[in-house]
Amino acid sequence: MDIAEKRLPGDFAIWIFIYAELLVFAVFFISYAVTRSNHVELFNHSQLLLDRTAGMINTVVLITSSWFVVNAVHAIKAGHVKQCTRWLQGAIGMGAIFLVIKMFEFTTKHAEGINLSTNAFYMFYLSLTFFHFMHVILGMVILVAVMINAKKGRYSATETTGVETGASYWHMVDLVWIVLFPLVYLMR
Amino acid sequence: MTETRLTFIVWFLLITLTLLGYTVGQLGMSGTGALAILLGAALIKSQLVISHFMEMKHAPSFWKWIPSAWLIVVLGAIILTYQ
Repeated sequence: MDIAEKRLPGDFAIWIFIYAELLVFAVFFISYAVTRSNHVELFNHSQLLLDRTAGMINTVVLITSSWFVVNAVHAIKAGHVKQCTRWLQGAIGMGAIFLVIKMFEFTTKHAEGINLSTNAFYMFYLSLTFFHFMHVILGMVILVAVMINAKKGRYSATETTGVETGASYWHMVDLVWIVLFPLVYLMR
Repeated sequence: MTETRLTFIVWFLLITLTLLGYTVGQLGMSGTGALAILLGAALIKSQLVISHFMEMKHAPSFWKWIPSAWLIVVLGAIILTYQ
């Protein structure tokens, strides 16, 4: 791409969607922070019972999947369709690992008898992480569609919009988690 | 430096900062110092993703600032409520 050319990567419509999603997550994050300020002891105590290691591994997994998607975009820009497909498959695989680890976390908390009505902290923890979980699933559906199109040879060095559109959405899912993880699991 | 090499370095920084934040959490650190480390790491990581992964560094001015403004508002709200 010509560096002098200023443009949003991918389809413009996805950016409206991405900015709307960011707004919703911002409301969620700020609500969490404000609610916590009224229940500091409760939030600090409940937070200590979360599985920080699972959260950290999922952060590494999601960041790495985002990097795979960056490589897929670079590959298609260079006209390397097969490489692009492989990077996308890697990213989808990492997304699946994220979902498995998150499900493990959800089932562990469920087995401990924790649910949305346990307390204010767990209401936020469960709803925020589940809301994000749904976005990971949607992002994976988009990446699978892009990967199938790439396999069918619908993208090339001169037709990169589809790959960039899927990539942009996936990075948004990653960005939100990068704020969510320290906020909900670590900051006290 | 090629874009591929640059984004590898970005990935490496993102992982390093994630491990730093995790260590703060595992040590059970709290208070201003711990918060500053976690907020600083979140700010740098998010901005790296915005600039280099989302390619906002190549986006038109108005659009490129929206995710960064989002980040400042969210982290700013956290600073204000975490005393």
